[in-house]
Amino acid sequence: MKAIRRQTLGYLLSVLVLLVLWQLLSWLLEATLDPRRARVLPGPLEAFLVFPRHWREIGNHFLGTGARLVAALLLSLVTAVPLGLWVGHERRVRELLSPLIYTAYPIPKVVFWPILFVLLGIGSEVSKVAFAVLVVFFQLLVSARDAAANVPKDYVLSALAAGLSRPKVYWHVVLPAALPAIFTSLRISLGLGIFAIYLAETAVQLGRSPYAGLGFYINSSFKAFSFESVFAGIVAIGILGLGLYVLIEIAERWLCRWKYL
Amino acid sequence: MIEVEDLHLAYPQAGGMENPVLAGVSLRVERGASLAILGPSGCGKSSFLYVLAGLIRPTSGRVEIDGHPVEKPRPEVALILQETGLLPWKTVWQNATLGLKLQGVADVKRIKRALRDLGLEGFERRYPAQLSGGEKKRVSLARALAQDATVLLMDEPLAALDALTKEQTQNLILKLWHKHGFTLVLVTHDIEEAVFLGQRIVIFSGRPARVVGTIPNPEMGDPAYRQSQTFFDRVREVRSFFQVPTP
Ligand SMILES: Nc1ncnc2c1ncn2[C@@H]1O[C@H](COP(=O)(O)OP(=O)(O)O)[C@@H](O)[C@H]1O
Ligand SMILES: [Mg+2]
Repeated sequence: MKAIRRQTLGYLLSVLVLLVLWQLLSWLLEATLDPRRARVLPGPLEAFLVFPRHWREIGNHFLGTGARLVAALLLSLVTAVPLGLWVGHERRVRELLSPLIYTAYPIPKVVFWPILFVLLGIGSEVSKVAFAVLVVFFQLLVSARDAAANVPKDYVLSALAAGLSRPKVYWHVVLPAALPAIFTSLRISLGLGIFAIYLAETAVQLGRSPYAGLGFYINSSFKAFSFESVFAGIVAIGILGLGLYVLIEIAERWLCRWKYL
Repeated sequence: MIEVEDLHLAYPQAGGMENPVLAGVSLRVERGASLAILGPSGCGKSSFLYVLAGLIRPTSGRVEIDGHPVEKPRPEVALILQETGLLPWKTVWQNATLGLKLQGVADVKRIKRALRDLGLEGFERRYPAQLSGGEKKRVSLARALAQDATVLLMDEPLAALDALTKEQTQNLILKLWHKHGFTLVLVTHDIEEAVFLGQRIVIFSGRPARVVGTIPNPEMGDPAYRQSQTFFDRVREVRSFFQVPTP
């Protein structure tokens, strides 16, 4: 309980520090640049004042981005983790497939973006989520593989000796042993996923759905020279990221509670 | 009864080479008897136990337990490993019942009794990280009792314990052995432990392992044996094996 309170305090303090830095920076620009250029960095207050006026619009974009992000993360989790655990745990598969994984891992996935868009429909929801999955998938795959490959042999042996079948060893040994590493990787994936969704949302502005996403909102605000709105959008993305981060943290504390004794 | 005849085991190595680990091990352990195995580090003692536990298949040779060839892990055969036998993400209760299909109240009662006998009552919901080294060992023993094992294989189980806890746990193993009558095969690098717990002490050569000595030790069986002259003489006898270079 104490740890959680301390952590909450930590989050609040960091937000506060960020706001103060932002305000200082915006004052600095105001003092040094001519007003037309200083406008690109409005203060926090100006940005926050956008919310009461446009909360419904921003809220809908927030939902759009959030839904895409969560869908992409969940899809990546349910595909990359089982595959990674399997590749990492089975020696033959590991030897066979690891080179392939490590070749694919460092390729910047952005290069596939136009291809995906053309294949899956320009601006379609599927293409946006698919792009984020592509970015996040390998991150999770590599860490699940590595974690499964490093499960102490004795854990597996004693479970097998206790009569667990091979599929059950995955559930009772390999997955729980790899889970802390998977959560670390999921946190990194969250950042990557936000980046990918943002990019996908800014790319295409056909059919302006109210749920087009914060990427779209920020981008179109830029084009309209509405910098307060740009920063309101950035704040909204920050809130989305922080919220998901906290959810991941709570899930980890629950599922890996044996690590936090 | 455990019967091992002309057991050979080689691990495949990179480059198609083979690493011979067991080179014709033959031995036999009567039902309810105890055997201690001593041998230099890396000679293949753990591998030998894994074969008995059905975890790895030997290259050749015959391995039978109670007349059945060993082909896969079986509930009558329990294996206790040195450090990491318990799963850190499972509670004491979950570890003690790992792999068991609990059927009804009788099973639950039996496991509760096993935990109580081992002084683990009230510890059911703790995680291994919340236990002392000796308590962890007792959970491993509880698992063996919970699965009603007739054969208990132990791979250097007490190596990480402090001297006092080690002695207490040795006494406990002795007591359980008397009470439950399982067949005990203990791999250790601790000569005194081998003499305390083994009715017979078998000495493995360096890799690839063969049996190079068998020392009967029928006087064991009482905690007071530790104090006796016979015990010290036996320890000296076993130790002398490691001073002359084995062929
Ligand atoms: N899974 C394995 N694959 C290949 N070689 C192994 C494997 N396990 C053990 N070995 C090798 O077999 C030999 C015997 O190991 P082990 O049975 O653990 O010996 P001990 O328990 O007597 O110290 C060592 O040389 C070790 O490197
Ligand atoms: Mg060993």
